[in-house]
Parts: sequence; structure tokens; C-alpha cells
Amino acid sequence: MLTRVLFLCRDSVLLAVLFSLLAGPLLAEEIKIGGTGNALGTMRLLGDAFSKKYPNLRVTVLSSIGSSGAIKAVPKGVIDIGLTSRPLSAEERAAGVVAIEYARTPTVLAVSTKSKVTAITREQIADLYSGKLAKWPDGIPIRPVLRQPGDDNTKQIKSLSPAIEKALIDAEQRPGLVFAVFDQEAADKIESIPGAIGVTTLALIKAENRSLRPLKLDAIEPTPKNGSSGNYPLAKNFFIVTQPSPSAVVQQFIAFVNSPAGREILTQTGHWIP
Amino acid sequence: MSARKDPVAQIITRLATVVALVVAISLPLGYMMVALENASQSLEFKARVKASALNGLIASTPDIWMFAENRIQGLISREPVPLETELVQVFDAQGRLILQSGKEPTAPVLARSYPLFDTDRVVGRIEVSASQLDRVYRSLVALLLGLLLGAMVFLVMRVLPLKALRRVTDSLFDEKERAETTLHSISDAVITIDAQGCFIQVNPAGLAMLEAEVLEQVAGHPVLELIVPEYRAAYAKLQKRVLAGESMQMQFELLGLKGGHRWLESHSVPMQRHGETLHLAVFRDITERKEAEDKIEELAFYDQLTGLPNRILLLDRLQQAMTASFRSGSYGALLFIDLDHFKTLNDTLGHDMGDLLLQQVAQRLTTCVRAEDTVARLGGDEFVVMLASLSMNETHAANQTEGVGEKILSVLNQTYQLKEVAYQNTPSIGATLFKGHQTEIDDLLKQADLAMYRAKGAGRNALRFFDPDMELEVMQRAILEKDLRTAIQERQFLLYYQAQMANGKLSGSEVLLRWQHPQRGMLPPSEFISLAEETGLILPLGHWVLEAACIQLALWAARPELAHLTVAVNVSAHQFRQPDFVNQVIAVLEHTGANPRRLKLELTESLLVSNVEEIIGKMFVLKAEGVGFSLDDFGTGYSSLSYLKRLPLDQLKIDKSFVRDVFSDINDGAIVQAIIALSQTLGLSVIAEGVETEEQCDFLARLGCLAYQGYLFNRPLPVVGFEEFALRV
Repeated sequence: MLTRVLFLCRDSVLLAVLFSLLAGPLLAEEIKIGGTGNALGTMRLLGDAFSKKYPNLRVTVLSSIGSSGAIKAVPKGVIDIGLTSRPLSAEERAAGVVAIEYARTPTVLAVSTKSKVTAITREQIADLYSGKLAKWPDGIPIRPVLRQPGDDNTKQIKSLSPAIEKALIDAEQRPGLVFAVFDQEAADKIESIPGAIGVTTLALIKAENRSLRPLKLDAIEPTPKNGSSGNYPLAKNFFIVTQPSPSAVVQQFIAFVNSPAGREILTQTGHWIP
Repeated sequence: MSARKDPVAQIITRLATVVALVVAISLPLGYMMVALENASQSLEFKARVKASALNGLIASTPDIWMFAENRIQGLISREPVPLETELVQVFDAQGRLILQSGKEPTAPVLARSYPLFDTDRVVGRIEVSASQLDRVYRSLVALLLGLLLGAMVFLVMRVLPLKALRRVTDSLFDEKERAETTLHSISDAVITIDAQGCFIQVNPAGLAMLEAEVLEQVAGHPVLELIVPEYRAAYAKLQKRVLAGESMQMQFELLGLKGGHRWLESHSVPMQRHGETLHLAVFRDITERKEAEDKIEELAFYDQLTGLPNRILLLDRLQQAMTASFRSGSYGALLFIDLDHFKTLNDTLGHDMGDLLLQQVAQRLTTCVRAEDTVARLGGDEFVVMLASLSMNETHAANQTEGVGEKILSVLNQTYQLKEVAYQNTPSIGATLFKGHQTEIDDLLKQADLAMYRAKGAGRNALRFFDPDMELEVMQRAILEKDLRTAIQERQFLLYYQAQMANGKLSGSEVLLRWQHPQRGMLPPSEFISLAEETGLILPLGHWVLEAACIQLALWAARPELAHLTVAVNVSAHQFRQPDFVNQVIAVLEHTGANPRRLKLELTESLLVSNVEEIIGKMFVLKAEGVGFSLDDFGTGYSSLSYLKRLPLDQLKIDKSFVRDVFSDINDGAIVQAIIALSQTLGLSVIAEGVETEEQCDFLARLGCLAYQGYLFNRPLPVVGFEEFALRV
């Protein structure tokens, strides 16, 4: 409680100082955004568009600190807006943060655009993680890029089938498998490693213009439409997390995100609005 | 030898314990240290690496990285390698725990941390910790192994050396035992002597030899003390040489502490002990052996019954005597003595008595000879006497031999007491002389034997020489001696007077002795004087001559025309040397009443050979009485001119040999001249003997000699004839 008050005071003082000292559009006001990697690319686009519209407001999107990181950072005031790919837990809500879902995107298995592979089956997923399937049809070894076991990405893939769940557990034991902690890192690795395959989101691919191809899963294409309809089973839900009473600037930004301009960007980058 | 009491064993045990403990501890300790170091390095490395893994996150989100728990979790658990058993903890700059990954390790825990850097700024810390329980277990295992190893080491170090030590000491002990037993049991003395020549150790046999009860009685005392003096120098030399490294042997006589004499044979060797050279001697008592050797020698060389040398020894000694005689030039003699009728004695009285007789004969014979002579028994009843170092003159040697032979005859003729029987026995003696190796030994023996048989043939109880001429001579001499003794007793002598002229007048006469031999007639002194000198009969004879001459002087003194005449009496050196000679002369002068001034004593130069001081003394005493002295045969003897001037002489008599050849031999002439000159210088009167021609007389007169004696003037005459002459002249 006291913390919240302090932070509010601090913010106000900061704003006051900023306004008093720095008149005019010479120094812009900053909005710090941080959180899950999958949302960052889009958020940068949104930020750029917002800054264009409001030149004296600058949006800084920090590197990925993860959903939980964002939830922890927001009450501390080190970031203004947190981006998460999961809803708040009861404790998190009790800590004094609010979350608003703003978009969804399909979670995909992707390969480099260099690869000729376009589709994959559940069975194949299980096999390539377990190691049973070792080579692509063109003979290049399959190199799965693993995520953390507790990572949401991994959880989502596991949910596809019990076989895949087991396969992912087995994969943990396979020596020499490439590992990625951050979403961007995963995308980098899938792009660069020959024969790589990994979990990422359509939003990331589109927002960051990655040379990655999302694969059809059991012949279903991972489009926002399929996702929205539920044909495609995997999706990431994005939330904006703020303090209970965010600043006017923050609110302004949030409003922008939800504005048609904002939504347009979202749609362009593989999201659908729930 | 208990290991616990043995100091060496104790040292070994302590050493083994220490080494074992070191080994036991160092293994686990070493392992723990290495393991700890290992773990520490590993953890530190991991912390560093994991810190490095977070670097990217920290740098890209410097203000909010600490909130990215999942990401941090992902990074630290997987980058660069998955966690194994470690616990990784991430702390912020204030030291608050941000998150941790991995299991809590069980104690004991080792942790290493590494700072999290945002470029140069420290923004937190990552700590990796792991359980060291495994290592602790392993250390315990290492400790157990260490203890095992230590125990083994202890065993090896303690047991093996001790075993070896025990083996060595046991064998040494055995050796020592054996040596000691040997030393104690052998009959030879084994003695250790130090570098100063003193006893160190003596075995029991040695102590017995030295006649000591305990070692302390001799330990530290010089060995030389117990050696008989005549062998000490030799033994001292031996000791020196042994200490210098030589092995030596010697025989010597030992005087034990209780006074016992022992003959010892010693073998000595040098011995090393503690770097010092000592003398180890083994003494063997050879007293019995020596006695046996002596006994054998005795048996070999000596006649058992009489103890006299036997034939073998005699021959050996004879050989030596012949060699000595050859070198010295003196004669030796062999006398073969055979007991007459010995066989009869054996048959009648038995062999025991015969043996007794032989023993007594042997004993009596030894009394007849000198130390350098040998009496031997050839066997049976045959004895031999060997006389060594007799005169260099054959005749004299023969006479000496005859003397011994006569003595033997006389001695052996005396009655023997054979137990209760009084027995009379006579020998037959054969004698022969030898000089050098002129005659072979065998021939000598034969000669003596033959002579002995001749003695037997002559009726036994007799002495015969092998050489008949010699025998004759010897016998004749014996007879002459006997006659001389008789003659002296019976006064068979006469005095003849030879005129002595001085300045053309009769001054007096020289008295010459003549012997009126009952069988042989008138014998001149040349026939008997030398015998008289040899036998000492010259003394009574000389005394008689002096007395007779003085009586005559006394008679002439009563007749005025003859009262001035002097009488010169020859005095032999032997006579003059008699201690009471001076008293004798004075006594004779007194009781005859002769005027001493008319008496002249003629001495020969041979008198002046020795004890001249005594002679001078006697002469002065007589001179004081008025007696005159002249030196007879001057120029032919040994007189030293320095003595000459000290003698209270009145007259020198030039020997006739110079006078005789005064014209034919230039030297004699010169000598005569010299003598005359000498006498004049010394203030002595001079008279020439043997003047036979006028020419001689003139010559002498020209030289200044005015006194003469000789045939030119008169032959020696009996008193009556001389008185006539004296009255005529």
C-alpha cells in the first residue's frame, strides 16, 4: 500500500519535474514496456505508431523478461506496462496489478524458410522430439530447439498428445539439443540452425519479419482465422498488465492499442482480437 | 632379547609408528584436499559460467532483469549445461535472494559465488553450491584405506627390520658363543695384547700358563714383565713387527706369577678392533716338548750310564777341535783309556759292580781335565779324553799331554769303593797329537787305539804315544825332570866362572851353572835350564846359584888379591818376579856375609815385558843395598828405551851375536856402535860378550867399549881354575 503511494508520488514528481523542466516537445515522455518475448515485436510496432501520433511520448520496449518478470516488475514501477502471455494468478492479483487481454495469436511449430517442410503431424512431433525421427526427408538432421520445461510454449506443445508430452520429457535427456530461454532467442536459433524446428508464435514471426515458416499441424494451417475458430488448437493470449491506476500516458497508450489503428497493426501481425 | 627392552627395537617401532601414522593420515587428508580443491574449482567455474550466461539478460534489461525469474531460471538451469546436483542461487545487489534453481544440497555444503556484472558494475551475485557428502564418504573410505596402508607400512617397517635384526643378532650371538666356548676349552693360551704391549684379554688356558687366578692380575701389565730377561729384547722387537702388520713366531721362556718356568712357542698376528691394531698371540706350552727334545739329545749324544758324551758327540767335538786347532795353530791330543782286566771284574763281581766302576772312573777322569777338554765313553770299558788348545809347539804339547796322562794314571790307580768291595784298577792309555786336519779323524782314532794297545803290550798301567820319537822325547824329558829334582836336592851342580875384563884388567866374572849328572856327565845349562823354567825348578836352582856365588864372594873377600872381583849372577825373569825375591837376595847376602857391591845381577830384556814399575821398585831396593844390575843380551829383546833410562842399571851387555858378526855384517857394527854410544849417553858401563879375536877387541876399544868377556880371554872355568887365572892376570 505504502509502496503504491510512494510510486504514485514518484511518478507524479517525475512528471511534474519533466513538465516543469523540459518544456515543449524537446524531451519526450517515456513509456516503458516489458514482458513476454512473443509480444514484444508487435508492441514495438504499436509503440512506433503511437509515438508517431504523439511525438512527445516515447515508447520503449525492453527486451524480454518473461510474463512472470513483467508481473513482478510492474508493481515496482520499473516498467509502466507489462506484457504477459498468461492470466494473473490470485496472488499476483493480490499484489496489485491488473491485466487486460488485448490479442491472441497461434502458437506454432516453425522451421526456417530454407526448409522445404510445410506441415507436421502430432506423431511426427512426438518422434522428432524423442529422437525417433532423426532426419528430414532431404536428409538434413532434425535439430529441435527446446524451451524450458516449465515454459508456456513447452506446456502448450505437451498438451497436444500424451506421446508428445513423453517425447518432450525424453528430449530433456537427449544430449546436445539446442536450448533457448527467450522467445527471440528461439526464433534466432530456428532461423539459423540447419534442420531446426521449434516453438514460436505467428505474431513473433510476422512482427519481427522472421525467415520462419509456421507449419501446418495435422494439415491445419495456423492462421488467425483458424485460431479464432478453434480449428487450430494452440494459441497464445496476450495481456497488458499495469498497476491498478496507471498514469494518463499509459492509459493513453492502452487506448491506442485498442483503437482501430492499433487493432489494424495487431491483425497485420498475426493476431486476432478475441 | 625382548623387543620391548631392546633400544634398537624401540627406535624402529617408534619410527614405524610415525611413518604409519603419516601414511594413514596423508591419504585421506591428501584426497580431501585434492577433492576440495577440485570441488571448489568446479563450483567456481560453474558460478562464473552461469554468471556469464546471465550476462546477456542483465545487459539488455539492466533495470528489470531481476524480475525475469523464469528466464533466469531457464538460463541458470540449462546454460551452458543442465544443472546436475548443484543449487544455483541468484542474489541482487543488496544480497537478497532473487531465485534459486536445483535441489538444496545436503550438508556439508561447499558454495562458490561469482559476481553478476553489468559491464563493470556489480549488480548481483550468483552462488553455486553442492553437497560434499559424497566426498566426505570417500574421504572416510580414504581414511580407512590410509589406516590399512599405515598398518601395513607399520608392519613392514617394524617387523621386517626387526626380523632381520633378530636374525643378525642371533647369528652373531651364536658366533660369539662358539668363539667363547672355543677360547675356554682349548689348551693353548689366546691372548690379546694392546699397542703398548700390555695384556687386554686372556683365556683360561692363558691364565693357567701365566699362573694367574683372575684376569685382573695381569690385565694392563706389560707382557715383557713375565718373559725371562734374555728373551725380552727379542720379544719387544717381535711386538713392534706384529703391530706393523707381520705374523711372527718365537720360542721363549716364561716366568709365571708364582715363579714357574715354562717354555712357550708363540704365534702372533695383528688384529684390527675399532680401527686400532692389536696383537693377538697364541701361546703353546712346549716345556714338555723341550724336555723331551733335551732328553732325546741326551740319549743321542750322551752315555746313559756315566752321563759322559758318547762316541757321536765326541766325534763331533773332535771335528770342531780340529777346525779350531787349524785356525789357532795350537795342538790338540786324544787319549784312549782302556780299563785293564775289566771283563774279569764283570765276570767275578757282576755287571752291577762293573757299571759302578765305570761311573767312578768317569767321574775321576773329569777331574783330570780342564773345562775346554772332553771326557767321553766310547762303550764297554773304553774312555777317550780329548785335550784342546795345547801349545803351538809340538814338543810342548806332547809334554802337556804326558802330564795329563800321568795324572790320569795316578788318579785311576787309587782304590775304588764298589759298594762294600774295595777294588784296585789300572788303565792303559794311548795318546796321539793332532793339529788342524793334517790327519783324518779315523786315522787319529786308529793311532790312539794303537798307542793304547802298545801301552797294554808294555805291561798295562802305562801311557804310550803313537809317535815313537815323540814318545822318546817325552819320556826323556820326564826322566830329566825327575833327575833335575834329584839334582837340586842332592846339589849336583857346580858354578863355573867366566872372566870379565875391564880396561885390560880382570874386573870380575860371570857365573855359569854346570850340572854334574851322575849318568850323563857335565851338562851345560842349555840342556836343563828351559826345563827348569817350565817346571818352576828354576827357583830353587836360581837360589842355590845365588847363594853359592855369594859364598864364593865372601871367601874371596878374605883374600886381598881377589877381594875386588865382582860376580855376575844370571837371574831369570821368573825368579825376579817372585814376590819375595828381594828379601831372598838380602837374606842370602846377610847370611853369607858377601859384599853386595861385589854382586851383579844380570837381567834379561824379557823381564821388561810387563809390570816394569814393580821391577823398577825391586831394583831400587836392591840398588840401595849396593847390588849392581846389568842388562844381559842387550839388543836382542824388547826393552823400550824410555824404560831403560828409568832402570837403575849399571851396565849394558852387548850380545855376542852382534860381536860375532861385527865385521861381516855392517848392521851389527852399526848396532854395536849405537849401543856403546847409548850406554855412554845414559851413563852406563858397557861390556861386550863373546869377544873371541883381537880385531874384535880393538874395534870395540876404538868405539869406546873397554870391557870384554869371551874366549879370547878365558873359557868358563871351575873356581880353582879361575882363581889361578885371576892370580896370573
